[in-house]
Amino acid sequence: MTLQDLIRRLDDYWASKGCLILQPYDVEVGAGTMHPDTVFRSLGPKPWSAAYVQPSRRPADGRYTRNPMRNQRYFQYQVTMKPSPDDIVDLYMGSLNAIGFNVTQNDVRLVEDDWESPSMGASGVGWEVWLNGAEITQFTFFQQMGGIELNPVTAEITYGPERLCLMLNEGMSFWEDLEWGNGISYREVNFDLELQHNVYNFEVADIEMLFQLFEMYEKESKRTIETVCRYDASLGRVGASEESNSGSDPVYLVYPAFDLALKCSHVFNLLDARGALSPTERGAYINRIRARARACCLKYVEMLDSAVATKTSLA
Amino acid sequence: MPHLVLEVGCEELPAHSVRRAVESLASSVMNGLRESKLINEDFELRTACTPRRLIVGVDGVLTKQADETIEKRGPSKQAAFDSDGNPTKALEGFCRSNGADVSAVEVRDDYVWIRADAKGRTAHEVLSEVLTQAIQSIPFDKTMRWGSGRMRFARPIRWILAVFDRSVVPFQIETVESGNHSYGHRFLCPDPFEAHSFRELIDSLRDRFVEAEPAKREALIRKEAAERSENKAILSDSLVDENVFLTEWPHAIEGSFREEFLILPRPVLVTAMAKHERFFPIEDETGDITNRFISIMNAGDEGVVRRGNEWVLNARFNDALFFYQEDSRTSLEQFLERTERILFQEKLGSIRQRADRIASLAMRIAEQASLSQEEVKWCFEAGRLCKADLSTGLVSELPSLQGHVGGEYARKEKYPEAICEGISNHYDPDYSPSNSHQSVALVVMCADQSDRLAGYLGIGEAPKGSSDPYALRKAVTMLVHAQLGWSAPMAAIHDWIESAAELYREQRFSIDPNAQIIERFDAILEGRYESMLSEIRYDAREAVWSANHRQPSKQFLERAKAVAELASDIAFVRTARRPINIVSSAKSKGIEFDEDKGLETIDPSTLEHDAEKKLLEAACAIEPKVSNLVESANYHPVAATLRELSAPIDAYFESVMVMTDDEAKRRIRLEMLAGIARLFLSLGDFSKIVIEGE
Repeated sequence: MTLQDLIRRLDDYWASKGCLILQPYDVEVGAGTMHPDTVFRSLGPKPWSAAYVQPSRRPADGRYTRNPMRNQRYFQYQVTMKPSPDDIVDLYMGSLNAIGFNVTQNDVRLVEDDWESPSMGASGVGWEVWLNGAEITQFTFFQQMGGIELNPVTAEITYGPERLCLMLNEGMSFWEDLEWGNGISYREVNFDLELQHNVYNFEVADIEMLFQLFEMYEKESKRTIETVCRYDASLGRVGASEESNSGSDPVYLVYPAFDLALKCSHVFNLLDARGALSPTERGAYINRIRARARACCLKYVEMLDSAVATKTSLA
Repeated sequence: MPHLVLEVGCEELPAHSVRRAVESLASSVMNGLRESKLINEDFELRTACTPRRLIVGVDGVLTKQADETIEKRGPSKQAAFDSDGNPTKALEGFCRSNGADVSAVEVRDDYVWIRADAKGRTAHEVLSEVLTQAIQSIPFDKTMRWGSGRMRFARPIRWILAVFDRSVVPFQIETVESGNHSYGHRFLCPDPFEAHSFRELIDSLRDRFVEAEPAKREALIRKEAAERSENKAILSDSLVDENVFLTEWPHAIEGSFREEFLILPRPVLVTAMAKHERFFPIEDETGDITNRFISIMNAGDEGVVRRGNEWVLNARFNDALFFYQEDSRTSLEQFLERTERILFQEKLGSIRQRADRIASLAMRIAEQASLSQEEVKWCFEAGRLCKADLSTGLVSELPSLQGHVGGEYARKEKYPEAICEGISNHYDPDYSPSNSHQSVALVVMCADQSDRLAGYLGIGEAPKGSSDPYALRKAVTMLVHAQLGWSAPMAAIHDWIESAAELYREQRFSIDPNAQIIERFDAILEGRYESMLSEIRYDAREAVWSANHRQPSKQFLERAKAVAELASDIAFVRTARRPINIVSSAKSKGIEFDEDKGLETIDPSTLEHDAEKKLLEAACAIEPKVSNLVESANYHPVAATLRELSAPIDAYFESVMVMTDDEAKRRIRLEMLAGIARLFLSLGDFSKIVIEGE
């Protein structure tokens, strides 16, 4: 099994179950959950089912490629379904069969593991899925996002494709035993990127600049979410201009503001990898990121009820 | 006899919640049956449970409630009929709302009554409500919602089997309708099947690879694990129990990991197997860990599962070995130096600085706790090195092994065993040490926790309400446990905290003055005593706390016991309170006298009454004895000795007016009573003792 085959099989399987196959988000994120199509789409009543690969960056997890199964950048395969179907666990088991794990020959277990993401104000209840003792999936029923209680509930399934592929091949190392596809190894595709980022994250990144960047992104995110836009009849579109029709419902720039919150999160992760944050500072920075993410979620929900938002999203 | 069976089928419940959930379900069902009078006296209740199902069976349920006549009281006779004896609006309204005819009312005891025959409801009708309620009221530590539903449960409910007297009890919870079918093992036999009784369900499940009775699963796990390991598997009860509730069809298999990993320290091997994988480690004849293990599988092909288990364990150990080998190029002393870069707290410096404080404090505590010269030296060294492993790679990967990793590394470098154990066990020492190795670990723990307390309390980080982010209450609990378990005399915890604070100041950290630190510490300590010494009556605890809480915990406990014993002697308590109360009230009124004047310095010739002279004589006679006994922490005889003052005190107050207008006399009297009060206070403040009925 190659990595690209595995991903294609997951895509085919989940597409056949009604999921939209999306592409990765183009801002650095620590986990697939932070993709706006998970964060925002989990809010409000509208059904939503999607699957996508999301490269995830966790600078502090880097091991200079010396650890055979841990990188600062790796992939997550993410499935979200809202409302969570009654047979979501069975659907998931079907996906294991689809990628080549026969669930009657292997020992698959759902072991209690509740998930939370303090910086997104998100939490859920669920399991880690074990395959013969190895954790292969995080399975979560979201209960909160941006501190907002969710109903209907989104089910989120997150696989680690590299690890799954390695297990299927009974290999021990991303760098020695993984084929991306067409005879090209994972090592060839990713080794230099991984190693260089490790050196940068741990030794080179400019701490002073990172602190400044955090402040700038945070300020810009706040300013953006607080900018009230409205439908301007003369332009026939939404605009930020003061002259826009003040009678119509406001539109908030939740996507750009959220991107900026994600930037804060990544800068924070780099500072953490540089060892620049003490435990209490860490907590304070996480609270600041959560405040930005929550502000975006609240405005997103506010707009769900607004007529202009419906009109513009249909247009 | 009609029979009820209920099965709630769920997605996998948290292992630790299953047993309690089924017990609660069963007791709610039984309460519902009793309240609705649907249960025979000779009923029989059975339960079974797995991670995917909670099953309750009841024999002896009645098919129908008995018919009953219900009487209902209406308005008073006066309000029901007017002066002509005609029904009023009030009576008509009452009859209408109860569907009764006005002519049918009876008058009794000045009220009107109606009688109605209540038809007993069928068990099916009642059970629909009882079972819904029972399922909804299962308490879980943590609950969730799913789909578009509003209901909260530990995990989503997938099916409900509810059959009484061979037919379905109809009800619906969220989108799930009750029925008469269940499902077998998730993978081995997932198709539905019908069942109509507890026995039939359990037997049919067994045919479908589900052993629903936890006791049978446990027996099977224990038997197979023992057989497959020639009785050498470490079968800890909690791990067996966890496996019982992680499986429906348990089967033990034996596997092995690569032998080269055996150079890893034992705690690393055991933690990876038992904590992370829920495998049972296997020891050899000498008690060393082998490269074999038992895993409990729930499904699958034995060969495939074994290979998978071995893969994951080899991967974990490979990881650990990498860090272990990296670490082995560095000595413990070098690791200690590297903790310079690890911050303890912004205002309290690095772990490296903390190590020096812990070392000095451990030495001081050890000296006060009557350890030998050599032991004191070990305490110092173990204290200095106990945090060194925080800079190792292995601890950064496996944080739960802090302490143990340092201990193992020290052992490899041939440090004396007492130092190694002191490092290993200082997070979780033996509280009643029986050898010097255990003593060292306990002393290092005391130094470590006292240092944390002095530091956090010194920068104002005291616990508030339910918020105790630095676990300071737990730290105090640990220190009190240590004090109670130690056999030789120890200094008060207050002394340790002040010494710790002093060490911060020597390192030029700016922390609050001792008085403030101790005030914050006392607030925690009082709460800890309250919960740890709850077997002693609370007013006795308060009496000792109020008289003097700055004393070793063991003495506090013994004093409180002695006071508690005296507290039941009401006459004695009344007598003992008088001098204490009168002195403290004089003090609060601002009357001047020397409250510390020694009894022996009072000249009997200055005393007016005989009773005064007699009391002084009696008090002077027992004073040395009392102070000797208190000094040697021998409190029970103190109590007996103090009783000797009862008669002279009572006689004194009969003939002497203390608060006389004659200032000179009053002064002498107060000074003498202050001395008497001191005698009582050396045991406890008896004014705090509550006398029932007062």
